[in-house]
Amino acid sequence: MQKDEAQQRADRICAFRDELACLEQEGVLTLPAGDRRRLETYHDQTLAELARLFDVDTSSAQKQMSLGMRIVSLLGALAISAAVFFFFYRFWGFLDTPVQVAILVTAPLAATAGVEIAARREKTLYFASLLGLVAFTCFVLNLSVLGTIFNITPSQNAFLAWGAFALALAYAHGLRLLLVAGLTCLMGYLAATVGTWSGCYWLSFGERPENFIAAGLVLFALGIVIPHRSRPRFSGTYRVYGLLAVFIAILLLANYGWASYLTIPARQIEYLYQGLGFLGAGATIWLGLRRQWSGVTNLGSIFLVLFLYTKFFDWWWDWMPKYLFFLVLGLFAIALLLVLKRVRYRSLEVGS
Amino acid sequence: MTPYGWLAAIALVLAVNALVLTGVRANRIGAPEAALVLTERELPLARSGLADGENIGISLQFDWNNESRQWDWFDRSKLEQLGFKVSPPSHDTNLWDYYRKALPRKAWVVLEYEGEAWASFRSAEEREIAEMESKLPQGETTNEELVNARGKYANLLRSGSRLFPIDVGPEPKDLRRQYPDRSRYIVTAAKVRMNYSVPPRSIDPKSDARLRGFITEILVDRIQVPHRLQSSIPDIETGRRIYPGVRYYSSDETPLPRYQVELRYGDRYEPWVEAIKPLPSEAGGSDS
Repeated sequence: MQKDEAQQRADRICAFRDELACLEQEGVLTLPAGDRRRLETYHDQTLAELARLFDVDTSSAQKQMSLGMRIVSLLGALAISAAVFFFFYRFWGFLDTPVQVAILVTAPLAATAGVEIAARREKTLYFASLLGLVAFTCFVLNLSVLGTIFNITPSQNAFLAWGAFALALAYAHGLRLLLVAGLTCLMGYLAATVGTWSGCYWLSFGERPENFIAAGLVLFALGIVIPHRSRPRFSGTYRVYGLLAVFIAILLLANYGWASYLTIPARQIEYLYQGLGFLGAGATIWLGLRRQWSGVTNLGSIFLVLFLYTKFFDWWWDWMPKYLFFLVLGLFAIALLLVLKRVRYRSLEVGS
Repeated sequence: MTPYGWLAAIALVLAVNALVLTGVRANRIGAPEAALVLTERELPLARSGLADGENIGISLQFDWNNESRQWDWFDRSKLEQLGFKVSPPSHDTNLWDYYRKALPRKAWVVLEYEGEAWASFRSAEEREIAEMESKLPQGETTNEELVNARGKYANLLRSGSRLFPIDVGPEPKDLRRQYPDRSRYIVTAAKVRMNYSVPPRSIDPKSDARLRGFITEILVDRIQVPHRLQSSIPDIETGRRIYPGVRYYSSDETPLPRYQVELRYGDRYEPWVEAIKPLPSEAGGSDS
């Protein structure tokens, strides 16, 4: 069993207890005393075991604390990473080249060992996650500064190395923050490589958002193809992150057709990508509902609204009084809510 | 928890670093691909991207002369050699947008040090000043413009870079065969684009528009100074330095170069600083 599954089990036990109390209060169901005692004892033992093995949250207060600790862990990781970065640049001018190289290579190794030690000692993985981000920063610094010291021609292969490193640590301990860092680097590598297929210099891959559409679709596909049995939440991260890249690229091209690979006039490109954006958002919502991927559904909804709002802006902002413009947006949101409520009601009827 | 994930991460760090350092060694062993002695004019101190005191490493900025209007050699045929699609599709009639939109490519550039391109540039500047002098009596130019032009030229002779791009190609080895003098020509990687422009003072822009190539940047344009050589740069804290990309108009402002640099390029066409020597304050390679 992994921590995610343990937490889901703990949540189900707590929800079951709450519902049973409610049923008893309403006189719908009252368990015999013996059964009640056995059930309570079994659930208490199960929760204690889950807390001991996986350090799961067994109450809403603990859940809130956990969220706060995750935020603190992230901020701490960012601060320590920045400190490592600036510390090195502050003092490296005093060091000879062999010493610089030794420090650069040792830092990510030491931080990686720190991640492993922290993960073995502390089941919540807050410190492991913090040290993981520091290790990633050290490796990025490692290759960047080596390139500076030895005047090496920049290459997109660095993204591949960084991505592989972050993914190795992410999969080792189920760290989603590092997974996102790894996927970001992997996406940079894929987008740059796709860009070089057209012959352009790799660092100019950002000038063509279509490179990110290709990279995003690859990540989305990986989220479907790779089963992730031991890391079930990772699949969702692949899918959402991949689609996020695709939609941001389409949104950019829908407003700035000049940046496309296509050689037709920019205005036609913008219309094309606007249409693609609406269709894509709709298809994403449908797919998310069908496969019960809530992250995908939410992402599709957000971008559907974004595409609509950018069209409204194009059509009305220049000539419509501003109060009227925002009123129309608000009324549209209400209309959309009513439509979605109707769709939701229909799906409940179908389900029952 | 995957038991060997962290070992895979450690192995990756070691393997990647070994690969990088092996490449560095491969670049520097054997005879250098190019070996030149440049001065602060071509390799001024680079500006740090961080606030003062936050980055105490020292690097030199590769400052090549891009003021020359002599880009005629970077023509359509060179662009085609580099893989650019110089002819737009038949349905695309907006040439300005077509060429402006085209993405840059990596190419290999030949930089000539203190050679014909430098002499040619000086001649062009002198001709321009002579033309202004002839126009002054007719009032077609002002005395102030003439003084500025003379001042700028004089200062270029004292502190301007003498490195000029003279050729470009897809293969560095082919370029080196054409320019075998390794003490005068550098072959290095650069980013290039197509440039569709109208010459200055054109009467008929539509028919005078020309397609040329344009070097946007040298890919390795900052060269790190090893710690052991940093003390060789004189007056590093207090001296008047040449700032990369800055052009001076008054001789009172112009700093003289303070040091010369032995620059080497290796088999992977990546540079390193071999030695730095201070220059006497009256010297510095002034061409006046």
